[in-house]
Amino acid sequence: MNTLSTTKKSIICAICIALCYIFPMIFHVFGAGAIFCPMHIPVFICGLICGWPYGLMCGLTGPVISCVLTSMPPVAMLPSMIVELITYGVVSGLLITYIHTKNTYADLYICLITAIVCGRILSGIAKAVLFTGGNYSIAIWISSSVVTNWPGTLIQLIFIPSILVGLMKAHLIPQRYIKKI
Amino acid sequence: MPLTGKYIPGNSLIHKFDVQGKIIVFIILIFMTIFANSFIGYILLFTVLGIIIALSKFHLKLIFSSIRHIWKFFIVIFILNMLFFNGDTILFQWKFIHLTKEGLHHGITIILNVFIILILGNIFTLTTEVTEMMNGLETLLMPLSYFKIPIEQAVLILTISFQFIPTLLQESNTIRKAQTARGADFESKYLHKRIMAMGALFIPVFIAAFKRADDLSIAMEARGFRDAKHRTKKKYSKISISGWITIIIFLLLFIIEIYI
Repeated sequence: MNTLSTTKKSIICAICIALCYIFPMIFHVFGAGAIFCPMHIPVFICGLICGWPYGLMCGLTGPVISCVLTSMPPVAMLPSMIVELITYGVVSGLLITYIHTKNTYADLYICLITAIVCGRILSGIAKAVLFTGGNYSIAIWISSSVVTNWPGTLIQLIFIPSILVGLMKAHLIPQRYIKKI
Repeated sequence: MPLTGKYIPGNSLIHKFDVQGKIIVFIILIFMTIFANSFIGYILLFTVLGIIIALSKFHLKLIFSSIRHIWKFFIVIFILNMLFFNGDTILFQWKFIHLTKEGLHHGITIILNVFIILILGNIFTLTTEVTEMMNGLETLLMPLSYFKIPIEQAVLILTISFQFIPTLLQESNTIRKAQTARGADFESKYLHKRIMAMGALFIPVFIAAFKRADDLSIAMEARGFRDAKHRTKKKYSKISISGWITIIIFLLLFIIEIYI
């Protein structure tokens, strides 16, 4: 995932930003918006494929564009969601560069789980300190980040590795580990 | 479907206004909306919004068409904020649901803020071409390049993403209908079936999107594109005197609103 040209990484980042806007629109039609977290998946994909600068860009601009054009997420939720998505993009992009276990799925799951935990924690801290003026507690954080969003977390853990491996098999992104013949 | 990225050509004052000035005024208006906390503040905001709508020369039906699609969302947000916001003056209470005067005020404020920002976003995208918007944004963010932030590349990424939105949306809808015809149940009452149906949507959409990305990157590199930093443009725009005057007027309105 580190042999893409700057041009290709820029275009993949652009695609992921566009999908940050499109997926919530599609999933809200089925009433599957808030709990399934469809906007998180393109941010993870961008960070894992292109690295942390592009993951940061995707995490920052994706929710803003979606909020401005369709008000999903609502303005009140936007700052905490930006913090969470930036963390996902940056942490997953950094970890995928430095973690090499010789197994693609192991690398992806380590990066994903660490990024999800860091994102939820930082988002909770940001809400508690900056965005809710003290009207926040660990119980509320556990309720909103863990209990309500567990289907979204499950979807991310199931589908993100599958999407990446699918893209590698379609030769649209470089193989992570080249098998020696 | 909301009016997303749909520029409609025209010759109104809003169309002709400098794009950098439009971006700055748009940001000032968003801050005015967020910081509005009194009845007179909202009167001022709605007066400004009314003037902007009148100057844009668009029909009200066109500007408010995106609201029609998400009115249910407004109702849900209003009810959630109204009933679960902590306040001192309790108007109604039943078990864990309590309606307070502060909750009612908070619910109305959230709805009005979302409404105003949505209308402003609509007018902005209706009166500004995407390429002009990106050029204006690049000019405004240019001082950040002194901190080694690659502004040209960031603006290029945003431009490409806006251009891809209608194409990918159409492709996603086609894939969704195709998968529904193949038996994927997106509206099943069983969670595991909905999750499996999403897999049938996510993977083909990503593969189709990445194929387009691959084609575009090959086309760009074949035409000699290497680095966004050394691109040149046909025209370089800057804020005119009338643009600066308008920005100063809006800044003064913002200051007045804070002190009301």
